[in-house]
Amino acid sequence: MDETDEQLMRRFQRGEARAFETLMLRHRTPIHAFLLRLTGERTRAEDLTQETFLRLVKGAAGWEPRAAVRTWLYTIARNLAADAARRQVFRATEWLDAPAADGERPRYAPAATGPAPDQAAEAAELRPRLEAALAALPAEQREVFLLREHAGLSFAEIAGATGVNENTVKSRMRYALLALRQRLAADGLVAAQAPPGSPTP
Amino acid sequence: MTDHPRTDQLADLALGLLEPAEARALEAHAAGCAACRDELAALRQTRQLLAGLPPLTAPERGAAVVLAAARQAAEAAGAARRPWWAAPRWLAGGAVGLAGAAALAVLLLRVSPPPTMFGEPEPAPARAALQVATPPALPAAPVAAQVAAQGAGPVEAASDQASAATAAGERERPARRAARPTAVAVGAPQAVTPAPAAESVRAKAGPAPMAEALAAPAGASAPTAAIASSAGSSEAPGDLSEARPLAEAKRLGGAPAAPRGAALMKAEAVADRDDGPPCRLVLDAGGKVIGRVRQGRYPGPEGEVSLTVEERYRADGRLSGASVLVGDRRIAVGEAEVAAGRLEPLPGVRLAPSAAEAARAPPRCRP
Repeated sequence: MDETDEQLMRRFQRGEARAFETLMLRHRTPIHAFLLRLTGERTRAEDLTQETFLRLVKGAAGWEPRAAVRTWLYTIARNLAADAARRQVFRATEWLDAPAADGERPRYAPAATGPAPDQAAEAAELRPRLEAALAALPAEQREVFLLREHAGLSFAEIAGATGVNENTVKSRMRYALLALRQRLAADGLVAAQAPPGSPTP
Repeated sequence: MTDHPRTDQLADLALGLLEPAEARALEAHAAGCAACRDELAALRQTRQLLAGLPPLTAPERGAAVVLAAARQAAEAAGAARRPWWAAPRWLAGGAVGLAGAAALAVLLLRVSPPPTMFGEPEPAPARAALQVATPPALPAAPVAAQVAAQGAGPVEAASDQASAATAAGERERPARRAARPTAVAVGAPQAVTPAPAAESVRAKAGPAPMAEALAAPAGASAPTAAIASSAGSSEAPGDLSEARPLAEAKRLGGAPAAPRGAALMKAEAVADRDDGPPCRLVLDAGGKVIGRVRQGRYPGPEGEVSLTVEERYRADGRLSGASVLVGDRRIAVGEAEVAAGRLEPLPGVRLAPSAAEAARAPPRCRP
């Protein structure tokens, strides 16, 4: 029987380090995935993932049981990513764009790795195209889409995390889906849209 | 409904954003309208496809640092009978009197290879560990990992190594701090039950760093003990005799008891220049600077620590001068020590990339 995040957090507040370890093990990969898809930059996503959990440690004392830990985590992660993006404006970006010396791809360049064997062939072709479609979204739409579809936050929670009202969140979600649908259609992954005004059969 | 619904209405329907009555009406229309039905299907399929994207596995790097911080916080809660959030000095951002080199060693250790999400045939952690452990040219094998593997005495040996580096770096300073090991980031094999997720990795060759950190009993692991012991000793007069020549540290590190399974794949130096944005250098196990110059201090359990690269690199690519900043205290690292190989920032890492490598891709922190 798995403990809830909140139970783990309370145990951590009481001084049980293991509880935090469990918490981190549970959320580390999804948080990292969120940050990677949000920032599009791998090394930055790694840094931000670590920083997110350090913030969780530091802020744990002030946590109150009525706040969902998961929502809090994504809020931290999202804010860190937003801060980093703002800072980047003021920084020279050459090192971000320059190819790394070890040949590591400096920019987020999704590729298919490690799909389940039974669906390997299909996934190998599909996944990078889906990642590319996501990456092509405007940041504020991508953020909402990821928080909703991958992190599973409610629209109200997303509104709280992103600092915009719920209607704006829903609007971004709608446009994200429409943009993705267009992109996937152009990529031949879903049917193209029928021309407007086509007759109703 | 005679008119077609707008596409954004269909999107709202596909997203479950509509009120039930409106949703029913749209569904009813779509049931009799091929265009709308197809569009709705495409929108739903889009959503479904993207929902199927797998999570991208987080790298191990950094996990141990966070867990050490968590342990420290939890430990303070249990030990002091006070609100633990008020306890650890490093949390308050204060300088903790760790010897710089020891702290740096933690920061420099990169215990896992990069994650494998980008399609590059990057080795799995276990394989990476073997590769790194193999080269005979590795001047000082990851001592901390190695000695931890021996189980009983990780602290002393790691301390020796750290002391050596620190002593060299502090030659100009009368103040002496006790060097303490903080083998936080080391995926040290310990006699603990592996975490289930890492079992396959462990079975192959060695520890998965995060799993090790996770499996280590809270409050009883070497890293935690090291941190705890260092906290009270910051101002204690250091014992210079502890600081063995680095040659000895190398010998220790290069001992036949190779660090089986110790995954020292890459190292990182966090650089925080006075005249420019902070940056981070990534070194490989051979000490070559292989990449990324990035911003950021490194908030670790020892406080914020950064390596200040003062002159960056000379033409031959060596790190020409650096200092280690621990809290508000700076420990100078002389160029001579670096150039002569008397100072190493990390067991197993030389700051001496080949001239060719440096010429091809000179690592730089540009303002």
